Amino acid sequence: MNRLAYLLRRIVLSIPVVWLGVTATFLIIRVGPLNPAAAIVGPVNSAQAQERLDQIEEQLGLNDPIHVQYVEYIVDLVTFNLGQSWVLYPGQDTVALLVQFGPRTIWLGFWAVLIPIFIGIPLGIYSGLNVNTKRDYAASITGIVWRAMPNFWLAVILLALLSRTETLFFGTGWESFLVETQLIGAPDLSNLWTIEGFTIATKQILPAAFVLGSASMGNELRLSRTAVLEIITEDYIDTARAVGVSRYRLIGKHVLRNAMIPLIPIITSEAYLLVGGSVLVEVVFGINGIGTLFFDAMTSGDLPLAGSLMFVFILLTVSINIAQDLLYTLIDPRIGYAEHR
Amino acid sequence: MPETDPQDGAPRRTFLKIAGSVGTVGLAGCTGGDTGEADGNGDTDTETDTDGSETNTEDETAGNTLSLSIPDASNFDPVQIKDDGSQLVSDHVFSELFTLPAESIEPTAQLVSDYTVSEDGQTYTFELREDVTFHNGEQLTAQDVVYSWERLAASENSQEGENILEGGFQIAHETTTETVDGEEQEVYEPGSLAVEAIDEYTVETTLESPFFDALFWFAYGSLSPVPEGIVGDIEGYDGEMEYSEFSSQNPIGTGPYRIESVSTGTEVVLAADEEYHGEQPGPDQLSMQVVTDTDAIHQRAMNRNVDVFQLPNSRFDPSKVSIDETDDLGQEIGTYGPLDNGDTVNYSTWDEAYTAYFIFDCSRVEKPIRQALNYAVNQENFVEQGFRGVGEPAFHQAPPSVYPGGKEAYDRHAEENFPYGYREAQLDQARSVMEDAGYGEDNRASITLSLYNDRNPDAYSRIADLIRSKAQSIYIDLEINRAPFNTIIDEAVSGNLDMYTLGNGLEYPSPMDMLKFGRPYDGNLVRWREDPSDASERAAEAWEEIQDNLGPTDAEQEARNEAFIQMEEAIWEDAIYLTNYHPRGRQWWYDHVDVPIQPSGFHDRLFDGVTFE
Repeated sequence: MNRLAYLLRRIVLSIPVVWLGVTATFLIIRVGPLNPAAAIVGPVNSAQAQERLDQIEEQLGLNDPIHVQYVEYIVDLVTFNLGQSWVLYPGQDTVALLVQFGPRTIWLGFWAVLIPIFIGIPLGIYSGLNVNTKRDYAASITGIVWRAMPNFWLAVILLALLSRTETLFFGTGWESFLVETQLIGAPDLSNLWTIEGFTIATKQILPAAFVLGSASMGNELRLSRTAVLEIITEDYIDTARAVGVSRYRLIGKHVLRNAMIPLIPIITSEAYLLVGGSVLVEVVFGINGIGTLFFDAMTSGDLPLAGSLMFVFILLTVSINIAQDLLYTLIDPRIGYAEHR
Repeated sequence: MPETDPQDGAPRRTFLKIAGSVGTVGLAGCTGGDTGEADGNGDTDTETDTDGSETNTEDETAGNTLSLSIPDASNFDPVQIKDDGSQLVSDHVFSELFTLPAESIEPTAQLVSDYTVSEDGQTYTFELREDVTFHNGEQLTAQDVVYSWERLAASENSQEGENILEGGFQIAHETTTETVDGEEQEVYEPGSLAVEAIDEYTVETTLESPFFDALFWFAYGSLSPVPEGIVGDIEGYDGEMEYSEFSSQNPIGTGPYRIESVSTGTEVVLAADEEYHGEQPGPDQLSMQVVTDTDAIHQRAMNRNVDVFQLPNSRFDPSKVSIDETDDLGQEIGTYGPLDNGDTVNYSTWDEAYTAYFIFDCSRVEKPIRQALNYAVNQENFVEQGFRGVGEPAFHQAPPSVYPGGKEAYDRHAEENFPYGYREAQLDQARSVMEDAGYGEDNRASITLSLYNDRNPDAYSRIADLIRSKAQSIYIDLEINRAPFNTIIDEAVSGNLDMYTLGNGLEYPSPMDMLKFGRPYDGNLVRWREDPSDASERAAEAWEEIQDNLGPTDAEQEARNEAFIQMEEAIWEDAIYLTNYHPRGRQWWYDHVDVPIQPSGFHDRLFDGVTFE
């Protein structure tokens, strides 16, 4: 089986996954206790509420039979007619919302993935190469403690700490350090290509990305340490060393490349942080990204918005999965596409 | 506020006569410039002076930008139902024909220079000011008003149409019968609204029947004029822009601020409009950042990222408040501090004109249980323990500021007549009511209390615990359920809840706006009709009486007031609610800005009167 056929098969197999996901979203919102019309009406009493409810339900087509609504919903998704938000941003195209909110979360996710890769993995490898030394213990314990700190707690603590840093950061405090930013708020991504814009946007997102990436940083540290340990005791490493391969070449080519294999799914799965894990961090740091948007859409029963976001998330997840499998074969030629016989 | 009542009762005509002169003269002051009264006037003047000379240094001081946190920013269209953040933006972008001056809740002319009311009190003729321009440069004309109100009535985007199509205040219109799901419904016939442009600057509108608070509705946000044909959501207009652009990116009105930039759901920046019809706004820009998390809101305030802010209830410490003065409308003004960052800041509160209560579904919870629960609680504890002492215990449906006779009369009437213990719990009575109804230790009643978990969750949790522990001792097992607001309202409409949290803010200052819910009718969430009694009949009769006396005369006002009190008492008798409290609005601000005191919940929240020290 060649790569293309494999890819096609994976794509076909992903259709039921997508279908299940969007159907579940539909059911949760439309069959569950949420009523988008009630969310629009807001906290008012009786007569008006009831009339408004009826009127809005009619406007939104919530009184149609459920299967009619379902078919309409699915057809709209499949044809990428993602519609307009009902509750949160009434009348606005969900695609436009996605474009507005998406980049901030991607920016957050980008740094949240990058920070652990550049801190967690090197530290893990360092530990693995210096196993059972004091340096290893120090790094490992830090990793475990880091892993154990829950996001929501760390976020609040970090906020409180960075708010009281008048004497740190060369006496400027965090908000005035290097460039003037506010601790809480969405990064301005419109000037990313200028140095100043990039610095501001990066600095603005760093605390949040640090928190969001903290769990994976610990994970990656532990996993890369284990992976290095396993590889380093393999016979072929001894062999390589015996034939006189230099230490750098040994680590670079033989140890690291093999140690990367178990790390790939870990790193790619972190991309899902963009979706699930970011809600809380986004809320605490006031970033107003796609995580918050999705959460609010779900809880207010904003079906077109929640459904479209879910649809996009599922597509994203499935494609990351496929990409990950393809990536495997690039790194490790031993993994093929043929079925085992 | 004893003065509320006589003012309300003053013959409208007197007011109308002087309105012509008030119209132009009063306009300068009505936008909040003189809100500060004692301390505000001087500042306003110096501000205008320094404003011109300050332009050079503006860049260094980052201009006069007022920073705020807002809870949401989504749709700014006047005819849509909005949350607080969007409302704040909308209030600054749009002006209404009338407005409330800072010192009273009596509407004064804003976009009109003169107006008359016909002999029968039904036809209003407005002369529009000729110097008002929209933010797109077009002049405000009578056609704009006609278009805007037709949009309110007929647009598919309108969620506020019933404000002019139903209830006591109705602009005359025709309806057609439409069949929806086999049910015949009366719907508005597009184009039939009785509002007409007589000439370029004269608008005439006819009400279905005279209404005492009509001017209030002309000061209501959803009746704000927008440029004619700006969106094509009613017949005869193609629209100059897409609806979503108008509603969320580029709303155009005649208010003190125009949109500078909108980053959906994240940030709204408003810029002072040079052509504004009122006094030139203080801040050159309003920068509003959307922040939803209470910790983040608090942190932003502590980091001085905002000039004016609200502290979340969970961060509020009543012992840090010191009130220095109380104003005419009951506003409290003082200081709060020290904050976590060491500063002591300015603080003010005002009457929100809101009543929060627990609703009983009378078809599910029988009267003795409702009464017993009313006996068992002391509303004072709700305020003290739930809301940290901010707000007033509620006994009537009408908040004190609009109660006939004002706060004094409110307190007196409650103290003398509230049957279930004024500011005290009467557990013995509660028990005997239950015992008379056949309940006891061996035969306990059980009901479920549903709370919203998205509005003041900590306060409501404490209050629910309080009610539960009281209920326990009067043979009632109270189960507490938590759900988001929209689930609660949905379940309530379907009739699946016993008792639940709800509240209502008044749109215009009359008990009628609250008491319209306190009578037996189809669709009432209380379902009083399903549990009929003498009291429910009395309430229905009193309501009829009110409907027959909606005119502006003193006699009619008196008849209404009497009926209001009858309704309040009938509601007490059948204990269809467990009243909770009347909240107060609160605001904090740092010393470097001078913020006009928000007069009441009826007034738009406006920051154009803010000056910088």
